[in-house]
Amino acid sequence: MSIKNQIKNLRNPKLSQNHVEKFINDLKDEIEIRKKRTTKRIVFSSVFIIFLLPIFSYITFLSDSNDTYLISEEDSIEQKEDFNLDQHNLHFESIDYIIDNSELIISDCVLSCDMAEEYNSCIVNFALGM
Amino acid sequence: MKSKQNITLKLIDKFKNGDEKAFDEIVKLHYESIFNLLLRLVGNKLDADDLCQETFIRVYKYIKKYKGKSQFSTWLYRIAYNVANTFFRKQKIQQLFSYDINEETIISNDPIEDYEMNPILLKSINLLPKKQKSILVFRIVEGLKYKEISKIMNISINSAKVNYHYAIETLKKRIKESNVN
Repeated sequence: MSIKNQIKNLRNPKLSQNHVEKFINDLKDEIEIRKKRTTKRIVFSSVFIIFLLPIFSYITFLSDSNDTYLISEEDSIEQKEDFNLDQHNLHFESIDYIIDNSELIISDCVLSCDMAEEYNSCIVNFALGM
Repeated sequence: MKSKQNITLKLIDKFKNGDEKAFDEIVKLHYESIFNLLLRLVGNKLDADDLCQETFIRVYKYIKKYKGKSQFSTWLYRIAYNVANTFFRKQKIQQLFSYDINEETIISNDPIEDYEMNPILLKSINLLPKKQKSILVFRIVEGLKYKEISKIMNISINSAKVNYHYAIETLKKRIKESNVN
């Protein structure tokens, strides 16, 4: 007998009606379980988006707002990342100017001015509070 | 075959209109062919049963998207084939991280009990690459045309023909070798 015929003659196992019924019942149960799981997932995602995400965003905003600012000769504030003290000539009095005139509430103000006296200039780190 | 397609289409319409029992009828109508196909692909009843369930869960999920452009059986075979492929991939990964399981134990795990087949041939079929084995099952056991096989497996008709040819040649060669030994 050729290989094709041998494979063709492969007898499929006989499936009883009970087997099919049992399969359908199990299938229905599994579908119900997965539906419930999907519903739970949707509810959790919604709760996360509605309540938790804004809280995380707010916390992230607060931590990100602790930036380095440069006080320029003209007493204006601008954000700088790479600031070279050698190229600027700044004055200590400028900090008081900022605190007095800024519309933002400054909750924390830290001077990192080890080199201030030497260069007569300074970089101020402060966190912006609400 | 055509009447089966028509009956299925009517049942799908009923199901789309909210008749959940129509889905049971669809399962009853196609269960046997899908189970037998998966049994031939994976080689044991336990896994075939699990994959059959997964197949019909996907059918339940996506049946509303079935537009009736192709035969329902082709659409169904394609889902079953994808489910089997996912299973093979997972099995391959499990094998990579398992030191105890070898190829022999996987093949002989709860094998198909009632077959009237040369055991050497059965073993040779199980050792074929998955693609060739699938084409062989679709072509010979399910009696599908190359065009349908290419649609189910998402390959060209030519590729289906070539792989089928290689599968038959490999089987012939292995059986000849085992007879010599």
